Amino acid sequence: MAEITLRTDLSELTALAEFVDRFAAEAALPADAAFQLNLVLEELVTNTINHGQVAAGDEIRLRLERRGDVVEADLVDTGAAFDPRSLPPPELDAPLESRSIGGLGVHLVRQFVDELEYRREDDRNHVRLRKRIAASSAGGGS
Amino acid sequence: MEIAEERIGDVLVLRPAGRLDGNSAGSFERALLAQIDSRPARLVLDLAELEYVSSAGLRAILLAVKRGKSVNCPLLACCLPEHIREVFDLSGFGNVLPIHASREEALGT
Repeated sequence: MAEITLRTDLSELTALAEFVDRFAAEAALPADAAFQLNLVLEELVTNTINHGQVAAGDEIRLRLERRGDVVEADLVDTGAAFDPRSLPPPELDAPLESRSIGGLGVHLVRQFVDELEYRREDDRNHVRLRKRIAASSAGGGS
Repeated sequence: MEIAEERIGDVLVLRPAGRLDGNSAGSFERALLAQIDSRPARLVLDLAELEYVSSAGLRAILLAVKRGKSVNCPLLACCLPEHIREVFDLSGFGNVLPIHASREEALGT
């Protein structure tokens, strides 16, 4: 299990990426799962920083754990209430002129995880996600 | 992130290397828009060395495609590693800009 606490500032994305890479190496995640886990966590953390109405002193706690063929991530933040399951899917086939990137991050999160849970508790957002690691590329034996 | 550039005739090829994330997307976007304003006939994004992209990076590319369209400088992408290709596909970016398997194919269109 690995844990990190981030300030609500985009400069923390570097620390986040290093933390996730280190976890992925220790947990022997295949490259595609590590990439997707990086992306999912960046999108969720960026959302909180950009849209969570955060102020100095707010923070994001992240815990990662691998259990067999599942990686579980817990994100707890002190930002405004936001349920990532609540956003409508973006219009991916809209003409270029009206394409926007709003909602795309959360859309990618939903594509790359197997379970996404949310609850608001003690003025905090609690997001839990689970991602299944393909058995054929689960590392282990050499 | 490093961005290598190469001019082939009146086509500009940009080859970004490394991570295109929320940290680097801003400077990437500025570099890309500045290159479009120099009005190459076409701009090819060779993504072979791109290790990572998130929605922040896709946003920069979308803005560049829109800017390119307004000044008649089409953007194309080529050589996407498999992980990057998956993100482009899931984001519907095949509708945003042409995606080619090889640089030759992108240059030849």
